[in-house]
Amino acid sequence: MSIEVTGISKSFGSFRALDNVTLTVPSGELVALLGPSGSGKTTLLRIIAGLDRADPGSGAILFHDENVAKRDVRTRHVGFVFQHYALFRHMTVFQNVAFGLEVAPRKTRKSVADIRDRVRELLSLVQLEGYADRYPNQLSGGQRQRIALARALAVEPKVLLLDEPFGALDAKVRKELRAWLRRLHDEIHVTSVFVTHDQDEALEVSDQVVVMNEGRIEQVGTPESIFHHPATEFVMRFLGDVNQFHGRVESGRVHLGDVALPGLSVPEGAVDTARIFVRPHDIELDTRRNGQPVVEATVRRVYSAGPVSRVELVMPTGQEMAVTVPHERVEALHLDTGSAVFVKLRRARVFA
Amino acid sequence: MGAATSRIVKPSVLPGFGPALGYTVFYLSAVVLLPLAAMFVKAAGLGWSSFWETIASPRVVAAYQLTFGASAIAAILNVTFGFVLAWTLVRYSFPGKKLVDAAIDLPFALPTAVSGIALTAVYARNGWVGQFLEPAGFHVAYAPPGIVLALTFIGLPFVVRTLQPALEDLDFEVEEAAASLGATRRQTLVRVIVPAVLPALLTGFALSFARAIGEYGSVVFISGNIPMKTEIVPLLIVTKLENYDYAGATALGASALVISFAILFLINVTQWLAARRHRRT
Repeated sequence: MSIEVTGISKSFGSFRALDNVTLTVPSGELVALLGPSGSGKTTLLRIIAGLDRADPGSGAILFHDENVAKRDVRTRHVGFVFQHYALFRHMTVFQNVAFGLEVAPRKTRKSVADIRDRVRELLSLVQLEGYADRYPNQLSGGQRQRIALARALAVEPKVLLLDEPFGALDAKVRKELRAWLRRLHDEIHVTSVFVTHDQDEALEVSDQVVVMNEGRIEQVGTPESIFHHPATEFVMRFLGDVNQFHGRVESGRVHLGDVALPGLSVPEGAVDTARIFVRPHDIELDTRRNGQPVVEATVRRVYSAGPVSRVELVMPTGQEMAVTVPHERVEALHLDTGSAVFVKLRRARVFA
Repeated sequence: MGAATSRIVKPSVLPGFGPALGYTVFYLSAVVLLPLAAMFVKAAGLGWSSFWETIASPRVVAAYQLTFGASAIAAILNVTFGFVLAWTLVRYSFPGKKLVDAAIDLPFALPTAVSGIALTAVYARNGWVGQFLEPAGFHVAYAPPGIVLALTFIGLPFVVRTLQPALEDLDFEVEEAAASLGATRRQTLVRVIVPAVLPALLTGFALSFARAIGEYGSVVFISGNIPMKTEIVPLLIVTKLENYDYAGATALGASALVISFAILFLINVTQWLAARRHRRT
């Protein structure tokens, strides 16, 4: 079941939470809505679910070509998973998962035996078979969220919507659960949209990432294309650490300091200045000039505790730069505070 | 020593379990248990047969039925409408909400005689509301419905004030979750919201009920105090006291206390069973 959102806007008073958003989620895909808080990602998810209404007169929401904008959450057949689980705390795990099946209208309701079988099946899907008689407060956060997922899946939703599903969990459980969610999705293939502010989570789990900012969509693409080809400065900044330099545009080339950077085209709209963005791992260091036009810098500090070494540099202009290189490179070059180095930008993006 | 005390004493940042428990026992004994014990002693002076004769006389039995029956009805009404009130105050915002919230406590603050007289004035034959009800055949003042009304009035704050924090605690997302699973509003109310606040509902019921059993001031004005029809137990106790029948008064008091305690104990057990599910075991 595909989801199509066309021209949706939402205002809370004078605050514009969503500004004419259009998005297509292909059937069977797992899509991440990624953005900082206040970017409108949760609002968009809630409008898709029918928990919130878009502004009157603004666009449509199509589930498999059928406009559901006027239907409320009860009849949209979506599974919704909340950040804080929203489990029914006076019910056992079994009763929680069975809830959606038991409140179905009499003519479509399954028999007691069928409900029991279905709940068992779901509990084994989320790997919590032995927990049917527990109450939610007897479970860990990760277990609760898996129960919430089983409960949402019980009614065989056409689409599954998850609002920061791992946001309330600690880092280790979060990593386990997101890998698990990816495997689960590969198994059940229900069209899924999940909201997150964690770029690693979005890049690791999803088929498509939708980067949102200030109520608008900045970029839609696969994790690889989003990461390697950010369309806007915002996406570049949001998807990880980045160095920003003030460059000059001179005779059709982008300059950093006195050095014309090779392989960079001048962006549209850039007249005299341009901003150069480079990720710390896209920078090479050497202690010899090697003949190429390279930028000079001085090492201010080396941090070696971690999977890679992080080197802080200061350029003669006073601008700072963070670089990550393998430990071996630091040792081979004998880098330490005060070392003079030559810097080569392996891959950079320039925005006006 | 170690094992036994460590089972009772929960580790706490603040020391002083011994003095605290001692004070609790002393205070409860001096303020609550001692007067009650004195009452039982006095009642025992009556001897078993005259004790039984006192509490089993038709007029007293009628008063028991009226007191406990009217109190139960009032408590049920309070739980029902107190729920709606608490829900409105917790979930909605409207102009004058603070005023409504403050007005809930009025029955607490008002001298009960004042509320009794006020209710009588409104519901008597020539009162604002009574003038329409009486010709239609509804007798409120000087009839059991008037007693229920007075008991409902004084018990309402107990239910609202115990429910409010429980409802505030209830995550709105839980309702959204129920709706996303296809539950109707009614199903959500009956299967999700009410069970979640059931312990608070039962506490509110118990408080309202207990308060109603002991209520005297507001009821005597509206009930008309007709023997066998609208006499409540506290009134009979006062009547006996006025006739210097202290033993008879304590007999009524002691029996009412035993019945009340039994009922409250049952409610508490139910409440404990309902609350147990919410706790980590």
